[in-house]
Amino acid sequence: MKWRVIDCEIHTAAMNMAIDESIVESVASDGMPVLRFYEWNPQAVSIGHCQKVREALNMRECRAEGADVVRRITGGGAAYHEEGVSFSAIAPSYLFSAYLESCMREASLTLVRALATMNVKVEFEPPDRITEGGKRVAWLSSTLVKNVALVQCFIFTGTRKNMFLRGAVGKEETSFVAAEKKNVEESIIRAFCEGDCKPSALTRSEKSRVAMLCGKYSGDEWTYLR
Amino acid sequence: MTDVSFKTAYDQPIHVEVRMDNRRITAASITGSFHMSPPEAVTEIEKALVGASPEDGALRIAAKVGAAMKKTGADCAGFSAGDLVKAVMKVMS
Repeated sequence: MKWRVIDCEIHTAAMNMAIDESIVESVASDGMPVLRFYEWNPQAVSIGHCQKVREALNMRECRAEGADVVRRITGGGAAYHEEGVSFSAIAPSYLFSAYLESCMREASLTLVRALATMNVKVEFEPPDRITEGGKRVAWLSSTLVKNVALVQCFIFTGTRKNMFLRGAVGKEETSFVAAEKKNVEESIIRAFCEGDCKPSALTRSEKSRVAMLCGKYSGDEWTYLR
Repeated sequence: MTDVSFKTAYDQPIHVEVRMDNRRITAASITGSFHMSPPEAVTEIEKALVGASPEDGALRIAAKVGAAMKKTGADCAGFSAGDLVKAVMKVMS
């Protein structure tokens, strides 16, 4: 199965989430899996789909720090995004699993294998923790929509700079993967696409949907859904 | 609103809050850092719980939750519909 690989782009949090959802729609339609890399500007906190904003973080303080806050369509807890590798794997669910828990396991183990090729030994702790020496080095969350698996992952590749945001989303100890971002990205491409991929960009119809969906993700109705 | 919490098999919290009027749920909210898909599944379950009362019993509540999950093709990680039903029964009592 040939994957479309979209090289790293820098976007706001709302834009990143809108792009993922637009790609979910196109994969539901054409069945071609997509692996895309991205960065967050400004720094951002993303919260799980079912989290209550006021319990997940202090919104006023996040805003004061200049951080974007966005609600994902994937579950799990709050994650903060600054230096690291963010990627989304969006594929027909049969490539991972038709079941959420197995889907997260398959995606996580693929990531573990990818990092192992760089001699980075990490472990998967179900359902969503990727750890090294017991400390989290990556966030992974997933959802299944219209027989499409959306896997969103963020890997720390540098020490946490913003101590406020680190504290804002919990006291969990974190570490980072000591590797160059480019190398991490290449290992992820090899592991997920198994050599069958082609460079790609958003299609015209995806861009058109992104423009519509971006309003949803940046709006209070979605952010304060819970 | 009254609420009750439980944890998934993976120690992720789930909070079930309900507003009751005349012993019937008028609003329900299920929140937490758990994993459930698709995104609309939780909202459907919350809607399905409106109108439920303790007198319905666990079986009727289970049918409501089950129907909402079936309608959306819901799938969850580390907990089951039964766990949700127990929490709903507890919060209504």
